[in-house]
Amino acid sequence: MKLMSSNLPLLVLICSGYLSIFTGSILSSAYLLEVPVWDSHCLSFSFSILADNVSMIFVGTVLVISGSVATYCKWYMASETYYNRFMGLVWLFVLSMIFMILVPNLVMLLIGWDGLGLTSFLLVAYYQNNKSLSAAMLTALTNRIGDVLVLVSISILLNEGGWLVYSYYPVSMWSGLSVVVVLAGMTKSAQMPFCAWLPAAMAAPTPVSSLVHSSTLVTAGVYLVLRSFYVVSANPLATQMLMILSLFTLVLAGSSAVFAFDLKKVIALSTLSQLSLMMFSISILLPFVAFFHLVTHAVFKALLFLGAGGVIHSNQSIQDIRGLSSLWQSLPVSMSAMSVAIVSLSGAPFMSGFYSKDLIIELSMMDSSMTYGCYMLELLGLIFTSFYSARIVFSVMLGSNYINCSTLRLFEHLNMQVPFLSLYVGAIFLGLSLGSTMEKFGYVVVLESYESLSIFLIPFVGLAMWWGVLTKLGFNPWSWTKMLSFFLSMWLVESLTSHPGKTLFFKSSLMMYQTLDQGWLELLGPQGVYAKLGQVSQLNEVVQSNYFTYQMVAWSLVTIAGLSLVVFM
Amino acid sequence: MASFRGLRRASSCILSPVIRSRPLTTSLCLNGGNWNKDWAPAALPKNEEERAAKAKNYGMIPEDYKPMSNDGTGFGDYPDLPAIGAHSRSPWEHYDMPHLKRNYGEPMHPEFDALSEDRLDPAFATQPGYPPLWKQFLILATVFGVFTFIATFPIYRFKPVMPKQYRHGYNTDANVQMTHYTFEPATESSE
Amino acid sequence: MVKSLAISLIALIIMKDLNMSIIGLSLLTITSLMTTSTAISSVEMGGLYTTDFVMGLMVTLTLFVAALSHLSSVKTARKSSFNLMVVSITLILLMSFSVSSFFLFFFFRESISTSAIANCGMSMSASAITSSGLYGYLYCVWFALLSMSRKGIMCKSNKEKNKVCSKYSKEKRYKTVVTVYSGLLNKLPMYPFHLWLPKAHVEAPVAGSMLLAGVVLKLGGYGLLRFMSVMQMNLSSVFYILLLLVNLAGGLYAGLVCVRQVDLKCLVAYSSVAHMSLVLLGVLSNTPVGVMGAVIIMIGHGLCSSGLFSYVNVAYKMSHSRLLVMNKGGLLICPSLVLMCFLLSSSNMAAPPSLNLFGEILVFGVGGWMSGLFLCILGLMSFISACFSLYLYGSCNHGKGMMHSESLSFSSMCDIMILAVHWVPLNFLFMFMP
Repeated sequence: MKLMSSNLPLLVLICSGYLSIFTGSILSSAYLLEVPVWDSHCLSFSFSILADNVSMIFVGTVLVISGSVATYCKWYMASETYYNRFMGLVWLFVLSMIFMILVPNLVMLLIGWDGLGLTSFLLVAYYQNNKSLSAAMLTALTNRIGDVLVLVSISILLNEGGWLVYSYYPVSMWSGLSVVVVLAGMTKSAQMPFCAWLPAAMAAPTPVSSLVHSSTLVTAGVYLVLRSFYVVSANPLATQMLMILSLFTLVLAGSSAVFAFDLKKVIALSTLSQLSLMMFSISILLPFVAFFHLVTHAVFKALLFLGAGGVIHSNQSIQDIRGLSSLWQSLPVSMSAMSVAIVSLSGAPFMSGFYSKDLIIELSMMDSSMTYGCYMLELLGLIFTSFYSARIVFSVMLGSNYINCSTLRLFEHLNMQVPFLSLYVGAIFLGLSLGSTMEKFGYVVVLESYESLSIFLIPFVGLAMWWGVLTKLGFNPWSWTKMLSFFLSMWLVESLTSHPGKTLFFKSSLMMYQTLDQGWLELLGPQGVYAKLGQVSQLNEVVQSNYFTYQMVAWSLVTIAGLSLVVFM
Repeated sequence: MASFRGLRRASSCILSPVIRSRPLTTSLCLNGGNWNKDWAPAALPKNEEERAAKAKNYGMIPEDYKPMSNDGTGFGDYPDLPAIGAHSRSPWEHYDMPHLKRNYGEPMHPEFDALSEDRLDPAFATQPGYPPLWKQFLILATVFGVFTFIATFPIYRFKPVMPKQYRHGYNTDANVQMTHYTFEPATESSE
Repeated sequence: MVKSLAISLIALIIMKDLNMSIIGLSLLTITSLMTTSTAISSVEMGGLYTTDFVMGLMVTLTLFVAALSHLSSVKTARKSSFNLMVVSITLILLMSFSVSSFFLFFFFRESISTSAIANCGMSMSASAITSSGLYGYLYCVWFALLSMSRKGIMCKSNKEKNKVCSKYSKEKRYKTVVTVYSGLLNKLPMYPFHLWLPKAHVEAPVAGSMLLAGVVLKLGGYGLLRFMSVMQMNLSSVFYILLLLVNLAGGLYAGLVCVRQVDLKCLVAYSSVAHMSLVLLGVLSNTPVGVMGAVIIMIGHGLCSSGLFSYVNVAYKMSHSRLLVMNKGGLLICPSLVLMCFLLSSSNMAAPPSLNLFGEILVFGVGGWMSGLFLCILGLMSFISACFSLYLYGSCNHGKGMMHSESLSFSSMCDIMILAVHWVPLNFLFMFMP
């Protein structure tokens, strides 16, 4: 009971989160509060808060997940010396996220957007080793590209005089604005050119990953793009680009997750593929379905991360799935959490994921602008989803390797079980309740019979493939080592995106420094002038060091020659 | 490590001229406990016995001992050790001081404190800045292959739904028919 | 007000006591802040001084940074002569901001260089003085001669020294602009003329660095602001466009070069160059929004840079090295210092809600209005400033640090208070901007 009373404020937070979701879903009007902060000749920046049903639901989700994660942190980070510093950073992050959600003004949104990037830098770099620092730099700099793009879009919108980009009907809009906004969202949500940071950011502590990298930071990009949908949909180029890149990321993440061995990296790649699915649904002009999936995905992905954290923490920080086995006996509650999460993720009937994810797939099949390639890749991505989620959870839960043979049940602290409970509610019931109350999520789906059957059967195909691998009926993909390195490095994406950028940056920086600062500017400036003056004075000395008579003779000769020239010309 | 390595490579080429402007003792005295007072630089050895004695003093065999050159950049009879950073040393050996990757009594480079694990290593400057050619082709082939796969092969099949209604101005094709509804009041004759 | 300021500063010079100077300067800062907030309109007093809002801001900034630089140098030797030096620099700066004649402004501006060189010379070895002194003198004197010649011609032809008549022919106006601007652009270090800045910072003591970065660079910006408001220049001339392009490219190059620096002070110095190029863009844009952005960036950069130099000084005191590779592991040694370093370096890269971000938004807006190419370059500059600011923070504070160092001298509460006092106005002044 003492534990319950100490957790009471967090439980209140979780309950208020669910309450906010509930009220948001039945809210019929939107409230906008606007306070002018700065007024000048022609510009005015104002601080505004938009309480819409979308923002209320999202704020509720963030509150639920942050309350659960904060409760979980009491157990996970109990041995941390600087616990208060950690929790301060976490709450600062949550504050920036809520700021970003509620503010529709692009200038004030930048405060939350920048704050997200900086606090996630500090959180990822929390453990003091090199890997954390490099992951944090990668995260912060990729997010910074997004910040710069938001600044560029602010400058483009300066012509309009207002920055309320969410319900925006501009007088004259430059069509490049949609491309800029889409790219900004893509950096935050780790789509193709910028997807290297999300698996690297798993160097953060697991509660941070659960809060930041599954539900809040990465969905900020999706949220910006779907809220600015009017602006984004004005340019077909932006939506086409988004579709191609999100499908690419879907297949990339799915195929890399099939082969990865690090538990947290697999979950990160799973997040990446679901984010691509959300971006894909925005690109086929369905923003609110993307939002639905965003909310349900946030809850069950956070649940999956928390379960994985329980597993990792109880096994002496082993993150490799080859070192974990038979955990259904030692950690039943964590295992049930993970199982519920992946069942919901794969889209098993009538769980949360079924409502949101299958809606996206069905509506995409109804869309006539899809090519065969998109179709195939989408289905492939979904098969990968069920395959790798089955793989990690079942090998961790039911597999048997010979490292860990104990059958004792480990103690699972109440602070770990309470978040599971609160997130179960979301993972199981959220899809049903939101889908039935919000009219924005309701669609009429008309499909051929084979199409709807294939959608229904996809999770089971993945499971069947996993069973085939287990019983060695089919192929064993992990014996192809050359292919393995290709997939483990995420299709060599680092060599494509971050490596050329880094090399160009450093080489050009060095060249600039050596050629200009230490080269030409010195030559034309101080050192060069100094040297020239020295030479001139040396010459002067040579001239003046001869005997006086020689000089007299020489100069008189010159004068006579000049005079004769003048006289006789 | 991966992204920070580039930064380390950037700074690994500045090792000698900047730091060697400090006297030798201030550099190594920062590593309290590893320095030996007998290692303080003295006059250069003049004959073979002195050379052997100095080598023994520094813990090296006489064939390896070579004092630094006397052109103003050396420190007397201090041996000219290669600048190997802690990153390049073998991680599988059992060192006496694992955090420094050094054994007791091993001669220390004058810039030893800059060659530690979390600082510089000159070996980074020799790494190639780009992946091998086959890898570059593989990356480009993958990316363009997937893009081509998505972008070609359109689906033409009958769907019992109306064509999607876009906003005005979204479809820039000239041949898309858009119906514009006008609202006139119903006349008496049409009831 | 300015007369009283000048008299009280002369009194401080005479007093020669460091502690009294600190108290006196702090009181003067508060007084000038109070008078600034009421003096919105411009007042001209006796034809010699002008009191404007921008001038009031600059004066307050000068006094503030001077007080903090005194506080940072409580452990210097030769206190009374140091005190004399710094207070006299402050006095000259105040004079230069408040006079209304261009000639007097030029006079005070060039006399800074002498005092600054003497300041540097006080603490360092002989060889160092010659290089920094050489650079300083060469740049300042050369451009001073150019400006002086032009001003002399202006004085001779007009009876009033302030006005630049529109009845000048186009070539004469052009020549005036080029020569006078070159003097100012050297002071606000525009890229080709910026070489004196890293050399001066590296050799200067911390108070000199803070004043230099915090206020002296603003002299250039302030002069350009004043000159731009009276000068009639053809805004589509080649010179103007060339100036803008060189400025932006220079800001980009300065930011790029920052990442390769090995010296902490050089890093912060080059970041100053990059920020000042934004100021120049704002001033040259000929719009009220741009000028406001330039002024905001000037104040924000004054606070942020001088705070960063103060932090570099604290790091130097702990490790006795200015090298980036030798200052590591700050989080384990002194966490409050790390907090301050993070706050200041994040403000340097324009994190909200600092003044730097505010000014950058305005300058971005103006740059985008002028040309799309400027927007690309500005975006690159913003990204690169994030690169080196985070590099500075991560390198100094993350990791194991010097596990085998012989002494752990912690930083004192005074140092952290100085840094906090730099950060608080930087991030809360946006609420009081009109």
